[in-house]
Amino acid sequence: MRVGIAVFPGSNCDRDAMYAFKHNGVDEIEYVWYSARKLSKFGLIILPGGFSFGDYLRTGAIAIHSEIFRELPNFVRSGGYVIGICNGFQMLAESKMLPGFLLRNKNQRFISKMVDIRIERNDTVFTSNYKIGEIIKMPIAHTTGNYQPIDAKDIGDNIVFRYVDNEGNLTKSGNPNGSYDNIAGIIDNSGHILGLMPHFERVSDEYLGNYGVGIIRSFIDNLE
Amino acid sequence: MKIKIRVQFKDGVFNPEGDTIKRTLNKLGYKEIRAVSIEKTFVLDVDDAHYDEKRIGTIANDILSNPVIESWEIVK
Repeated sequence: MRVGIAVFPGSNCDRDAMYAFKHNGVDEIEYVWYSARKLSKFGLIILPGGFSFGDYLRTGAIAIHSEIFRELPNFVRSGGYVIGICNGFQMLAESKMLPGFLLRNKNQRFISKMVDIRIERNDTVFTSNYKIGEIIKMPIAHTTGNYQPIDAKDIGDNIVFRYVDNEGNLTKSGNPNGSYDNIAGIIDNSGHILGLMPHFERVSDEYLGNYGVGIIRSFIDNLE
Repeated sequence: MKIKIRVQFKDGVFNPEGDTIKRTLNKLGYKEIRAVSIEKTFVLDVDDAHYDEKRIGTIANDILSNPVIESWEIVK
């Protein structure tokens, strides 16, 4: 299973993702430039955080018209997996590969801090190494992370990660950006496309905390 | 020919930016301001010989706006 990390002009978490996956035993991994048209050698594509194309127009809005993005639906149809982190999640929503949309944070500000995240599903290839209800710490760093579903009654089953307060409860105070129902990350109905605002790649070693290792290990255990 | 495309949030989409401006105006004493919304206007300089309103509409709908949350109109 080869992993590709998409690189757009303005991506700035591509190297963090490379480090996190390599550090956790993934050796078959390489960067993929946004103009790539062929993804068939990969099993997983990471859409990293950053400010693709300056986030001009809207977050992720230019990136989704690049060659690699036009190939992504085919890639998923033929069995590929995609993880969008932060800006990558914004791209997946903008392209409608994931339902819903991301608005500016309710408080209008760029928020960079550690947050508590509760695992809502562990029946996905990305989260099987966690327990349901387990609370992990991950950093967020975004201005546009206020997730809103298109149809609130349809989103329940797609929720994988939720923001909680430091007692583990779904409260307003535990919700950093105003997201509907404290949503921090969702998966599509096929189980192949995961999008999340928190940067698990920044907590995937013994120095910064290994809360995000579970996502990488789950994927390896399920797919290799 | 210059074509203007105006893009705005649809009704019901919470716009934190407009809301912050509204609250600030209210705080400064402009209590009559009930809501502030922000629109974007794109100005496209189009080759007259190849102007096609349908193509401009496609640009507005597929690229310049996100139709899930935004509406657009061509302003002449």
